[in-house]
Amino acid sequence: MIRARINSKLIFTAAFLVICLVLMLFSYYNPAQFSKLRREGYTLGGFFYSLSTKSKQALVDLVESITETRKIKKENELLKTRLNQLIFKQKNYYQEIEAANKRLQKLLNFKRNTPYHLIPAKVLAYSPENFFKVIYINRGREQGVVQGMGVVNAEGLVGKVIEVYAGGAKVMLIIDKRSKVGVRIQRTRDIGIVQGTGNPEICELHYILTRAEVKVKDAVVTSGLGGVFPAGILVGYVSSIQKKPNYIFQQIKVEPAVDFGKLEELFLITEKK
Amino acid sequence: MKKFFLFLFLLFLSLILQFILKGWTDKVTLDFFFILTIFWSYIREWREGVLAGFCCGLIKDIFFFPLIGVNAFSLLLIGLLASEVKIRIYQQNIVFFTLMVGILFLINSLVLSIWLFLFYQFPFVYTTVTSLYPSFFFTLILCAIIYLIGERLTGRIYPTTLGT
Repeated sequence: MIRARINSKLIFTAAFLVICLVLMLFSYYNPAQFSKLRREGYTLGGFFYSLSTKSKQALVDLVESITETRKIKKENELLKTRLNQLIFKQKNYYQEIEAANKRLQKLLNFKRNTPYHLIPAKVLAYSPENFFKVIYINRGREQGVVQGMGVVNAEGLVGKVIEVYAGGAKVMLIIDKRSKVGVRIQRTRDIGIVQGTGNPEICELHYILTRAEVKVKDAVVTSGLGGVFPAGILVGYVSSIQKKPNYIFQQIKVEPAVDFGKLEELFLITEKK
Repeated sequence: MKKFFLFLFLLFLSLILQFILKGWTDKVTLDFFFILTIFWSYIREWREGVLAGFCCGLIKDIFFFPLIGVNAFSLLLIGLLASEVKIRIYQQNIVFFTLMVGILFLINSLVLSIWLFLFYQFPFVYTTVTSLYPSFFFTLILCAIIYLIGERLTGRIYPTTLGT
């Protein structure tokens, strides 16, 4: 039984081996006989081969596009960050520099044109109490600052030094209720006193006679009387006038020339050049 | 009949895969016909193994070989040997199976080299080494993977034909 099975296996295999041998010999000596079969085969094979190369190219393109997309995404992120930095700088830094440049240019012009020696100073702090309009500056006794010195900026009169320390000083602004400055209406030459109201936008001008021809927007400058401030420093502009019958003096409001909310660089007036 | 069509389908799939792989890379070489012969012979009985080897070899010869019948001859033998190994020394073991595939691949390469030497006077050692490297490793790896997948899916790599 086993032998019969082995025999059948041998016969079966041998038959196919013989077929193979015949095919080998036939195809070796008559290759043209199989050329048609091969041609058909290559038509089919060519289709799959082209499909394969196309799919490979598509895959390569896909991978490349993914890689490229990642690269572009990374670059985009980098550019976004850079753009945000630049926008931040433009909005916060460059404008600040530009504004500081303009301000300093104005101050430089003011210093060149003014007939006084000026000590530059910077605002360190505003008074923490709302009812006193005072500031602290970074110049004091060591820099030659003395009590009573006038403080100005490019816009006009700021105030006067009321306390002096070694490296700093306290300045009372002209808008402080305690402040009184001798002034003159520039156009009419009428003399008066500007007193602060505590309101940074309004000061009161006293002792201008009712008959004086004062007009709104007239410039009010320091009179130089009393020796505290030199004459001719702009204090502000007349903003409203009220004349009452039987009153000796007019009630005049003056809008300070200085914007007290934006004080930064100041000058202390020492003496005439 | 169902198995016949399944085999035809697998044969056609092997052909397509062989073409696709050829188009994709020349570094990775795999013999899908050899793999089909091995598994079909290992799963089915010896007659089917011999026939499968013959058919696979013939298709390979038609599409990829200058001489018709060389691969048919070698794969026919491989089919028979794989069936014999399964019958005589069957072990459901991945290491054993991989070892068997390696030895059969070597035999296949030797048979091919002999025929090529006889017909075209190709240097025997050169032909053997060329047909072995690097497809030997890739084929072995793929066979092992298929074996593991088959084992995982069915619980055993071949069904009830043991001893037939």
